[in-house]
Amino acid sequence: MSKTYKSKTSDSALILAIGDIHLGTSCSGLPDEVSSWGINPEDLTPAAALKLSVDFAIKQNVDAVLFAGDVVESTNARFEAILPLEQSIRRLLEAEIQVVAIAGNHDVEALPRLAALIDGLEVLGAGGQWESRTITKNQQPVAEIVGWSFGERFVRQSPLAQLLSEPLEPVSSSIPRIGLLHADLDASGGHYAPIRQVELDNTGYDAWLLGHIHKPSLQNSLDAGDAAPSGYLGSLVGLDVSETGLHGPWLIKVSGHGDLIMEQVSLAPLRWEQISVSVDGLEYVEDLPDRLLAEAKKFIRQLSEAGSVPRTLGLRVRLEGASHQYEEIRRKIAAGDWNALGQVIDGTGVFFNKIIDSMDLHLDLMEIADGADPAALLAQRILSLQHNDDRSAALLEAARVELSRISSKDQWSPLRDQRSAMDPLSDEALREMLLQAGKAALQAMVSNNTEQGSS
Amino acid sequence: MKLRRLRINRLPGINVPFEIVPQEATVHVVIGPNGIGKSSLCRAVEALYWSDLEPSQRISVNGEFELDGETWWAEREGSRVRWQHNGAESTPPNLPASYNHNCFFLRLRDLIDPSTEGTRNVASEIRRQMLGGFDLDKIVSDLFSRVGERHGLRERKQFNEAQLQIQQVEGEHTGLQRRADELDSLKVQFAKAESSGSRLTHVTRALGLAGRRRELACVTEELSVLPVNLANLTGKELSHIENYQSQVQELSSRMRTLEAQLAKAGKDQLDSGLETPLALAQLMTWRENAEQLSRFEVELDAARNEYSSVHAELEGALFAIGGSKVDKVELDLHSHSQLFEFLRATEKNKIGVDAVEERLRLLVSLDVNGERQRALEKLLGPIETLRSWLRAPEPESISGGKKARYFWMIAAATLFVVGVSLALAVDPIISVIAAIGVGIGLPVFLGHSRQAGPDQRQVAQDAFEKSGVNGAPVWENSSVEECLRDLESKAANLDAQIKRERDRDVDRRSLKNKLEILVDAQPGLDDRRQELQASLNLDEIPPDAELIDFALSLDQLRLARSKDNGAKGKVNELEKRHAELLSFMAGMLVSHGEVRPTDATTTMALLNQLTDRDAKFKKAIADKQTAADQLQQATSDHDTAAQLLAQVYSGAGLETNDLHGLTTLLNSLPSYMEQTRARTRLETQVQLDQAELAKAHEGDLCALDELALGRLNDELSRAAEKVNELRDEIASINAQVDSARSGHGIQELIATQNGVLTNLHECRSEALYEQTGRFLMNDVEQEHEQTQMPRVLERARELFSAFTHHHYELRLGSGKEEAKLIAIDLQSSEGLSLEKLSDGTRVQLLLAARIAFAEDVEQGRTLPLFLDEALDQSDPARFEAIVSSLGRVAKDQGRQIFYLTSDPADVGRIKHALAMENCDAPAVIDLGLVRADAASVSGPSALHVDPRSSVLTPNGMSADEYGAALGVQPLDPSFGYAHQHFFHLLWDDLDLLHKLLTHGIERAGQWKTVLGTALAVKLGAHSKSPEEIALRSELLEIFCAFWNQGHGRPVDREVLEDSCALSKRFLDPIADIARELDGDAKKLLNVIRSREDERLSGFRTSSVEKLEQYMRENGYLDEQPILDKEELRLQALASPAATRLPEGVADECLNRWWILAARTIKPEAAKLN
Repeated sequence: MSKTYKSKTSDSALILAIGDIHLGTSCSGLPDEVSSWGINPEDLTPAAALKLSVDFAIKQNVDAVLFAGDVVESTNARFEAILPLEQSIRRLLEAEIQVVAIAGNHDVEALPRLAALIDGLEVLGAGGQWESRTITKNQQPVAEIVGWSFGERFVRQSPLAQLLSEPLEPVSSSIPRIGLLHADLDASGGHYAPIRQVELDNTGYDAWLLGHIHKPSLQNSLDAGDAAPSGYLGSLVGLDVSETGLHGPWLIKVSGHGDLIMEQVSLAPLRWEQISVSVDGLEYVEDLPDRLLAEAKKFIRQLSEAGSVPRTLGLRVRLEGASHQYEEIRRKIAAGDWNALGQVIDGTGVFFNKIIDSMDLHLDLMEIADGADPAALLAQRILSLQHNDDRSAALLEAARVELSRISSKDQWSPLRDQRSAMDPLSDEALREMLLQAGKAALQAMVSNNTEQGSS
Repeated sequence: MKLRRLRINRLPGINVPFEIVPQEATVHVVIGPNGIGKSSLCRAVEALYWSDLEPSQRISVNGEFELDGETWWAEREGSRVRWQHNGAESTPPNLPASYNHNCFFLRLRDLIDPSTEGTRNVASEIRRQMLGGFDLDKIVSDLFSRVGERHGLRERKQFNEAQLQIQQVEGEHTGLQRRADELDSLKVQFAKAESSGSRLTHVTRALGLAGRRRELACVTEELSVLPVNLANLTGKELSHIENYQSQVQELSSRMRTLEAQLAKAGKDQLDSGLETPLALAQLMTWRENAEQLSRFEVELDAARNEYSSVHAELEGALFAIGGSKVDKVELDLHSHSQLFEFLRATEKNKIGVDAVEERLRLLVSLDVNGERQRALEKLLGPIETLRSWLRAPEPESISGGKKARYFWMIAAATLFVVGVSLALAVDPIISVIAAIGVGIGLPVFLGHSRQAGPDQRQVAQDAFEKSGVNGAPVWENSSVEECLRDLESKAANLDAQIKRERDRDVDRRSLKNKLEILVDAQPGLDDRRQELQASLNLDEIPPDAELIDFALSLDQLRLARSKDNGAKGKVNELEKRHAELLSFMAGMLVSHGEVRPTDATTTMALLNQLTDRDAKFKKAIADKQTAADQLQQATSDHDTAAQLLAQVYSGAGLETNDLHGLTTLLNSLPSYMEQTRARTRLETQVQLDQAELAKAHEGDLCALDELALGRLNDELSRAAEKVNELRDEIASINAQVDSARSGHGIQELIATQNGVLTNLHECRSEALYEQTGRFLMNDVEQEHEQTQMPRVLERARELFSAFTHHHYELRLGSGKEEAKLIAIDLQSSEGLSLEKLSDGTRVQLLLAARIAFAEDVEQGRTLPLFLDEALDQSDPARFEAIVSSLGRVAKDQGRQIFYLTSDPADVGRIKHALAMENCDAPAVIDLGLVRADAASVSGPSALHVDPRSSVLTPNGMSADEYGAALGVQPLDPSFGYAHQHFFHLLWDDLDLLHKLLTHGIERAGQWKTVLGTALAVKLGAHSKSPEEIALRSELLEIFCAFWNQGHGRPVDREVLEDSCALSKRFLDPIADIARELDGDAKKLLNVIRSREDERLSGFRTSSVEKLEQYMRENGYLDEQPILDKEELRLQALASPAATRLPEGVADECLNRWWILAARTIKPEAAKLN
């Protein structure tokens, strides 16, 4: 990252805001091949991402660094996660960069403990009370940070209610107020400080930087042109394949007039993406790996043009389009023939985390559906699911009832508590599975009967 | 749609075209031997229907069809299918999808071997047939049945293990954190303990201080009683006194010796004769002068000797040139050079004259007065004449040349003429040829002109002979040439001799001139000789040879004279310097009291003598000074020793020389010294202790007594002992914390757990996916069963029932198994899984299902059916039944049915069966006749159909008698209503009962398949309507249900296995127990729960619950109350069936059935009352 965001003589201030880091963990889903490409998996961890962010902050000579909670993983918050955090904070303080943090549900113990050890690390809102700090530049206040920390692992009420009922007096009317909060936005309840957007809006703050959800959403608010942007900073690096897209810290420029300019910095050493690859015109199934790698290369180049090439790129590929090789491709996917596919492209290690069958059948669904036999009935369902019509809703509901027995089995219970847990019986997931199974079955039905005719 | 004509031009295996033309009949029997092409007919029609079938390119067929009275024509060429409708190109008629082709083309193998696994999974195949040939079970099995119920359990276990490991390490970290949290407290304790340890030192010191103070007081008291002067004594005083006295005596003696030495040195000084000592540098200079004087004397001797020798040489040289006269002549260098120059000129002139004269002598003239010149001139004329002769042309060559010239002239002229002519006639450019002719002719012509003239050879020959030279040649070329060479050789020799003579003459003249010059120089040399003689003052100049020796002698003389002068000068110089130096030294020696020296030797001797005197003088002075100094020192030492001696006594407070008193004091001194040292040591230690304690802010300790300090010391010692313990503990905690901070144990475990979670997620996805697939397929199947299957199933049931003469009913099973279809044997009410059917019955069933589905998918288009030896496995009765049914189908629907067979007997059987069904006779297409002009059928064979078994008529028997005669089984509600004999429904109408039995309707359950059919109408036309029979059947069903309420279905091994609640280990023992309990689920559960049976040791409670749930859900465990007779009656009478029956019938039935059932089963006593 050679981009320089300000000159040292600039009047404006720079603040680097970092979302969930979860130190003490490593990113899951990395294949063993990564090491053989000369990439040290340790360089792809949250700790490595934090180090890069600190390097960046020091290089850019920022005035403050904000942590939006879940800095450490609660399971590993006592020792292993503390060392890189302590080193990072000390480096920032040595560089005379102000460090302000709030505790998330994962670091209710770790962060206050560390704050007691390190002079200069400011943890806001300890004990569940809102608190503010002033960011200064050249002894002049440039921004006010208002924050709240988790006092215990679970908080079932909105912490904003307190702030709204007992507002804090602003330090100065001429500097922007930035809220820093770890919470579950627009959740219908839950254990992690459920808040609503309207509450954020009612505070009248100039911006809200949120932690907890790993998918960055602040850009959405910026794109929407919200006067007071608010949203999640996202995890510092994608911890698993579900955390796709750009990840990294946010650089906030506070102009001399108090305006806020926010930009996410592509610093995550590991990036996850989901891409679609068409199998249209694929004559030989053996050509598919080349096609996948070509698409990967294309994607790398797009990232390169955007200036955000990661050290490693994990791809989840959705195969689309139609091919005569439908069944062979499905068979190879099921057999895991392409699991080890990957290579270093333009210096970036690329691997394929999973290949998902979302191919279309090389059949005329409309024609098949024009009947009453089982194939027609199945084709009708596929079309219905594709069109998402009323019938598909009923089908989804029936499938949900049917699958609930399987999904509620005790052996899957750990998946419910997973960080990136998604309802496997959501409409989207069910539709995906129904389409995938339906297409496979329809192809088999038509193929079997045609084979019988041919024989 | 009907096939009107089919032409096969080409198919794989068919190379000779043929054509069949079906007739108006609906049923066609296509007969022909195997391999004649019967199956090709099916393939040809399939190829016309569906372009995606029959992939072979070697296909050419066409056919004509009739649909709704209109003509359709289809053609298949390769992969292309073309349709015409009423003679115009058209899209194909709306035909079923190609994958339904099996519905219309049934092959024997489709029915006999419906699956790759043979007949094992017939139920699925039946369902497949009714599903239009779609093997949904297989698809589900292939695609959605790969993972089992236990899928993911292994991964879950791995997850639990990983989580347990994480929790363990996390627990360790928590413990470590707790210990780390105690660090501050431990450090405080440590500091306190360390402080105690530190104070302990001070207390110890304070304790020592107290002891030392006590000791000091004792010492001070002891010292106070000793003499005060002891403080001034060291204990060495006696030794000192002895020493000082010895020194005084010794020094006195020495003083006397030194005074004597002083006197002797004064005397030696006077004896030296010198008043002052000589400087060493001066002596050195004098000694060098004496040595220089000695060297002058040596050099002078050498110079004198050399002078004598050189003078002798001078005398020799003088003698060499004539004695002393010459000695007076001063020959200088210039004279010598003149002399030598003269000698060289004289010699050179003499040598030159000799050399020139010698050469002149050799150059004697050889010339013979121009004789050679004339001879040469005489030869030149003939030589030129001979050359002219040779240059002249030969007479013969002139003739040959003319011929050649004429030829070239003619050729040139020809070319010229031709060239000109062609240039004029054809092209001017051809004039080039004429130019070539001119180019050739002109040189030839000119050559001819030059050669014309007189004969030159003859002229030359004449001229040679006139020259008078001898040896005229024969006038031929070779001879002339030889002669010419001879003359030219002679002329060349003469010419060379003439030239050499001329050169010698020139040399001679030159030498003569040179000789003349040399001779002319001789007088000059003589004059020079005279001059030299005069200038050198010589009497005469000797001859030149002697003159040289003389000159050399003169030179040696000159050198000798020069050396002589040099030697003489050197002697004089040395003599002068020697005399001066000797004079100087003599003066010096005399001035110091020595005699005058005469030469260098005496000088040196006198100088040595002076040096010795000087040395003695200096020594005497030094000795004198030394003795004086030592005397002074000795005197001083003597006085000091005496003084010290006096001080020793005075220090002890005694009179000088009071040795006794001193001795007495000294006896007390050791004790005094010891006490004094002790006191000093103690005082120092006390001061140090006090200072250290004050420095450590523990000055208060100085005030404490030993007892208090002892107590304090004990207390602090105990606290100090904890220091090491605390230090180790703190270090241990810090080390563990550092290790934990730098480790990645939990991170790696989390990574492992995440990996397992990923796998678990995959497992769940797979399980959900497969369940999704099963759900979807089930949903499709259900819809098909609900929307299409009822029609298809109903039609299949109807056909199947007809095919089997109503002995079987096709029914959907109630279980959750994939194959829900079962065949109910209506005679025994036994539900047979389809694989238990005989092959023939199964074929009937499959055929019924396939035809039913075909009717469904063709949607009114009524496509022809092709049965390729589909009934071969049927026995005659079944064959008849099937064909009859097919005949009705064909007749009712107007459907063409083509039955393809190689058995000629089938024709007769089909005809017979159709005739029995009042259907039209089939048309026969003899394919052998069509293709090979040879009839395949030799003639119909007799068709034998097994007669149906007869049923006993009532013939006035009572109901009970008739029932007994029929062997009716007692009413047993536990088997369900369908199983009950129809006798129990119609015991009051035995004629109707007989009719039903005659039609094979024996069990109550069969009526459902008959109801709604023509047979039901036919049978119901008698005393009781079909509906009443159905109502009685329904009431029996209700009775059985109420009767069974609260009993539950019996549990057997299969049920236990299906529950999936038991492991293999417990399956057999629990099945045994169930059998022992007559399958009573409730009792079985009680036994299991009691755990009294040894066979159940280790059985898990969770499995009991799972088993109970399964039993409850599936009716094996019925918690409802058991109904007594009245309760059952009242509830049954309230049912719709009872209310719709004629009055009293229901009550009568219920009463009768209760009595009969009670006879059969042992109802519980309480309920029977």
